[in-house]
Amino acid sequence: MVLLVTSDNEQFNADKDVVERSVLIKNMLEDVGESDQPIPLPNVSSSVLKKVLEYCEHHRGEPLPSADADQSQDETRKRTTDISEWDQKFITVDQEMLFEIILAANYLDIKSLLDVGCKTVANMIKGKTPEEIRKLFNIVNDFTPEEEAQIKKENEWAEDR
Amino acid sequence: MGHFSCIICGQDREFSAKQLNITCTSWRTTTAPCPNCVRTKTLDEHIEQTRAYLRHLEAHRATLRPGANAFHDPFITHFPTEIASKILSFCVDNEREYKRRIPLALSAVSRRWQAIAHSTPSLWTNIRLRLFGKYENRVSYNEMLLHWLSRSSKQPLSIYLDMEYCRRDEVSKVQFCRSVIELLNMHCHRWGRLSVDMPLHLISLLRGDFHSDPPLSHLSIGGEEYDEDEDEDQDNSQTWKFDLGTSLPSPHTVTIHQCGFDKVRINWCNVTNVSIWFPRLRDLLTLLAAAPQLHECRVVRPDGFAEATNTNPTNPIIHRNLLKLDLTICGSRIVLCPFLLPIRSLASDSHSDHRADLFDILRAVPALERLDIAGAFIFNNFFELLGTDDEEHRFLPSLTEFGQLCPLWTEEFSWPDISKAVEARAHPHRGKCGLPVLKRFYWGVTLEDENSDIYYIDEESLQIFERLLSNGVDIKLSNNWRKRGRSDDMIVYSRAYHEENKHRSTIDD
Repeated sequence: MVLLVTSDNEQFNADKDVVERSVLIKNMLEDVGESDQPIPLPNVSSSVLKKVLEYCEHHRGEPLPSADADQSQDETRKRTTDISEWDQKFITVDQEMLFEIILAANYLDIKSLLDVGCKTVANMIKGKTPEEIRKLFNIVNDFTPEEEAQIKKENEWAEDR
Repeated sequence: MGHFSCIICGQDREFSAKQLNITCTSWRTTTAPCPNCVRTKTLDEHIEQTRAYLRHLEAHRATLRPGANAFHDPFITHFPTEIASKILSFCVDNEREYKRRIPLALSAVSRRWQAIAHSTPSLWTNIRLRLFGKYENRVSYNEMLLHWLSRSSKQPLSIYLDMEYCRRDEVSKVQFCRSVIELLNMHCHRWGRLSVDMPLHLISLLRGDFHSDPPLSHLSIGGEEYDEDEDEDQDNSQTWKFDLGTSLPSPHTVTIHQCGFDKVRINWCNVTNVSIWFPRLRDLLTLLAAAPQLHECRVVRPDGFAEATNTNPTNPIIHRNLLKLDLTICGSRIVLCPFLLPIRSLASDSHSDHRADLFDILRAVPALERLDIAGAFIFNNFFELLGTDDEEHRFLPSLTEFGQLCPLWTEEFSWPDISKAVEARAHPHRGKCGLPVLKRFYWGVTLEDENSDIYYIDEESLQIFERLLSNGVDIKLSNNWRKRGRSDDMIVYSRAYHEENKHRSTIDD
């Protein structure tokens, strides 16, 4: 068992093969060797770590993507925003939690979870007009009139090209 | 004058308004304006001053709004650039329209999004160009194309080039096409996918000056041949060729549509998938010889296959790696047996005149697993042969999938023959004996006459089909005639028909 300590000082006990889905934790454990020392995770809150561990638990035992395989699969992964049914259900959370999971996956270096999170945000964006995207995230259009004109020109080119 | 202390910047200032004239009634020119008009003037001036203050506040608001992105936009508040870029790259999927619009939509959200989109090369690797009547704006068109190309950085490109037909003497069109192609040629070392549909006499403009092996993995060439009748110099019209220059690209997927096989100069050694339209027999033979890795080939309407009888039918061409041949046959007499020995998949589209040929072909392809027929009339004893018990002389012994793709206008079949054949080939016992089991059977007809013997499936055959369906065999029997408003599923409507008959006879009894 491995003891993890979150940014809000909560402690989580988890199986080694579960937490080792995180490359960061795996490397830390390898560096520390056999030790009962808790692993501090100052960038992850307890509510987020709970979700991350749920994900790792579900995917326990699945092969981890190697660095090479990851590179070669990168293009393929980028081309599809398909998410498995379980992952889809798992990632159905409010926007803030979704963003926090993405950041945690990035920090903990859990590539598959990072992909699921990024694909989910991508799916929210896909097929929307700029105005709809702005509305989705409450973003303000900060282009100058000159920049707007250039965007319009480029859109016209793309429309009939 | 109105004094306001601005709640934003704290300025305590006067917001002046222009001096208003009092317009009282026309006859009060010598006396002072009426008290009402004086008060109205004072109020109007206050309103003007308040409006000036309002404009001042609005100016403050305008400067604050863009700053709100620093709190709202997750690409600023949460995600570092590499994650934001990853998210955007997931936004491009395989759908053509999206590919064209998404990068631009993403870069039109805000400045931050634009910066991220422009520095995400994978968003810009799909270049779809439709050159139809933009000859006047050549410079600006190419300028945009250059932007797009530079944003894709060093990533492999997928280029789809679609040009309208033009004659050699249409100078402005040719020059425009040339200028676009020259820009693309400058990035030839990044062509991963190249799909062109253009006047074939312009194909020679595509050139590649490769410093290493060309990365081209997918090549699709199609277009319109120059009309020789319109060309005074006929020899000239024959000179085009897809030849990128010194290094030969070595794609694995090639599509050749409406252009001669011999006009494509590539290294065929690594080609695994080919789709080819209207090839001549000798083209196909050259292809089989030149592409040893070929394992999937789609041939649409081959021409000149009658030559096959005169070549050497006793010396079959065996292509060890060719597993799947989708063949659409139509028109002239075909003798394909010598060329089809290892084929596992065959799609045929031929006339009733070719029944005998089709029979010969099917006899000659014992390895055939998937047979899809469109437009061809199945010969009379097809199902009888399919259902025979003689395992040694089994017709199409490896068949696991059968599809009649287009509904037939025929009544030349019997349900008992079909049901027995399907039952014999789909029986689980075959699987236990290690024999191929039929998994899919699609049969479509167009039957208009409800009084015909085959409009409804007979009760016994129906039970067989229902049993097979419940065993998981994918069976679809459809009557195209009934599509409008009524179920075209022959199993469903035949079952309803028999149930109704039973019900009626019970009432009669």
